Amino acid sequence: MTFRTGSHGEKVSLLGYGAMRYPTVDGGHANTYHGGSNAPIDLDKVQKHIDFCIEHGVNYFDTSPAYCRGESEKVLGDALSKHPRDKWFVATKLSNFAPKTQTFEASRKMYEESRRLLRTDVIDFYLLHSIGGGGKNAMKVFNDRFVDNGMLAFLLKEREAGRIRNLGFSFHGEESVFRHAISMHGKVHWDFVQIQLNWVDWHHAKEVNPRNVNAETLYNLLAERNIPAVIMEPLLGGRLAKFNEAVSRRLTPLDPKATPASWSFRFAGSFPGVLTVLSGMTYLRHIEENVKTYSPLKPLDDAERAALERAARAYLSDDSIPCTSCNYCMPCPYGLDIPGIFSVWNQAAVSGYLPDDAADPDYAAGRRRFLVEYERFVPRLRQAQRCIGCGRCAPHCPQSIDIPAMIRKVDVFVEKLRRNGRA
Amino acid sequence: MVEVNRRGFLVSAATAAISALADDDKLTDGGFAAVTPPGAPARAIPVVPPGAAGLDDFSLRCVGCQLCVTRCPNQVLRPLRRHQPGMPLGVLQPVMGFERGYCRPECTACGDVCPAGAIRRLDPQQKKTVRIGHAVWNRDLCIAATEGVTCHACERHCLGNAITLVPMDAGDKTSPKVPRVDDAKCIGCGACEHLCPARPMPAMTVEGLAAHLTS
Ligand code: SF4
Ligand code: SF4
Repeated sequence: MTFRTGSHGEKVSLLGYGAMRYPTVDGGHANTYHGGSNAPIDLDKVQKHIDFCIEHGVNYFDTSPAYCRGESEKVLGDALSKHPRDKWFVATKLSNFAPKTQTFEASRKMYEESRRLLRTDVIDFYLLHSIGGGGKNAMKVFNDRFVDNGMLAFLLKEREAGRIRNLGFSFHGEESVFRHAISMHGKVHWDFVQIQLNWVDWHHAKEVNPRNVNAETLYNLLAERNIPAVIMEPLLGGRLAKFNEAVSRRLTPLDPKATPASWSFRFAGSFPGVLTVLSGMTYLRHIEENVKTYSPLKPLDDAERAALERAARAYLSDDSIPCTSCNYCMPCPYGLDIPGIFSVWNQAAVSGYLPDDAADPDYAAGRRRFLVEYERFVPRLRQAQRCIGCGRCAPHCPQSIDIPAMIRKVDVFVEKLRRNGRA
Repeated sequence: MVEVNRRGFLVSAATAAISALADDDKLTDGGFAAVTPPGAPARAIPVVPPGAAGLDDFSLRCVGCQLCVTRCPNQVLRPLRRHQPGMPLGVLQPVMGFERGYCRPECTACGDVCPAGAIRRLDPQQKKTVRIGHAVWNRDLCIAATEGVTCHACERHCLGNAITLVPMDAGDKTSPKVPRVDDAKCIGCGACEHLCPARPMPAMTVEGLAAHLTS
């Protein structure tokens, strides 16, 4: 395992475990589609996975009070407690949803509760969760949530007292808020910052959505100040774990045996300012594969980097919806499986079966395939046609997806397919 | 006006639709909200499929063989279980209900299989023009009233383009929108009833037309 050095000399594994996609007892994962069930987390498997991680040098574990319907921290705390305290670093967050969780008292309680659930007096890495949200009001949202209620000052004191080892923030959304937070560095001294980085977002995040920021901009702002970067979404929620044909054609010749995920992990890990690359790994084979990629990391060479840039442009040519299955939008109050619907769509986009021309010779097969997948993975009562357009989901999306509009797009598409044949 | 939304919070109906963040009590990520199929409302006049001329004609011809019931891919047709006083239909003659689906535009299965001439064979083009019922809106059940949100479910999926959304409070353009049904365009397919999110009973109910109309 390749290790990097944190702000206080910590030896951190380049691979980090993201505790937001635990396996569930029905074989799915706690954070994406599995036929619309609320199946419980498979605790035995989680323990085995974490044991495996620690045996193989992975020592950074990232959670939040919000993940997995609020169960992530406890499950992680229980599993980590089986291992000596000096074998792992834990990262958790001051999360932010309902306004009632944003007062000083409620925030402090959230922080104390994290320490209790994680069974530790010292939180190794503590983050202001997902700053930059809130659209036009993002700056106010940031100040209200983290600064004006006194929480940032409190956390700085906690760091001084040694109960927080590293203080940082994670970011999605408005660039101005990121720059503002970085401008506070002189006073606050951020020990690390968590950003979304992968070979598509490096140069093309803005093309995917004008409200997003290219990872290159974010990384450089950190690197200039020697702030270690923790990477999230190295695989875009799994969407880069499978190549479409156009991407494959550009990458496979360089290294026929390399898996799609290994390309992505090598890309993220090759930046020297990266402390660790988080991955929400549901299955042991994911962990094994990623451990292998980083044991040790073989940094990308220039030719490979150039090929990935060409691949990114090819990647953008399909019709995918930029959902990473993070589940921040869930639950939809009307029961929709938002990430499940998008996964089925994206699977089809990547594999090239979003048939739109009934005269096309591939239409019938594509139509059948899409509808079969859709019915199989998304129960009827959770399908796109059940969206009422209330818009409650959209403000939670870190990828700034106009969720109701995209759901509607799928709905209209499916309706067209259904009409073009017998139900 | 003040209403109680589905999470039991008091919200102002006028502002709920736009204050998506403010009235949100979301604390954690993930999981699924419970879902239940729409309920089966009582109907003053039962609904019978397009191709049946109307209740009288249908009840005289239908032999109750259940072929159409077994073939209906949308699980709309089912045998009548109990005679409805004043209605000509007999027990086991098929009627329509929309808890599991609605009468989809591409489907002509029942007319294709009916051996008795009770449901005449229509092609999808003809089927579009037959009015078998009309949707009735129940204000008290609509989530515009119960939760203070504008819902687009019925309007978006109406096969006859019979539904327009209008402000609930005519004097207040920002009030949640509610559906207005144009009876002359409504064909009675049940899409609105099936897709309405109101529980336990849908706020849209299809009432049958004793004699079907063609437009
Ligand atoms: S807009 Fe649609 S998907 Fe989003 S929360 Fe409302 S009903 Fe659910
Ligand atoms: S739509 Fe947005 S918030 Fe919802 S799962 Fe996808 S990326 Fe996450």
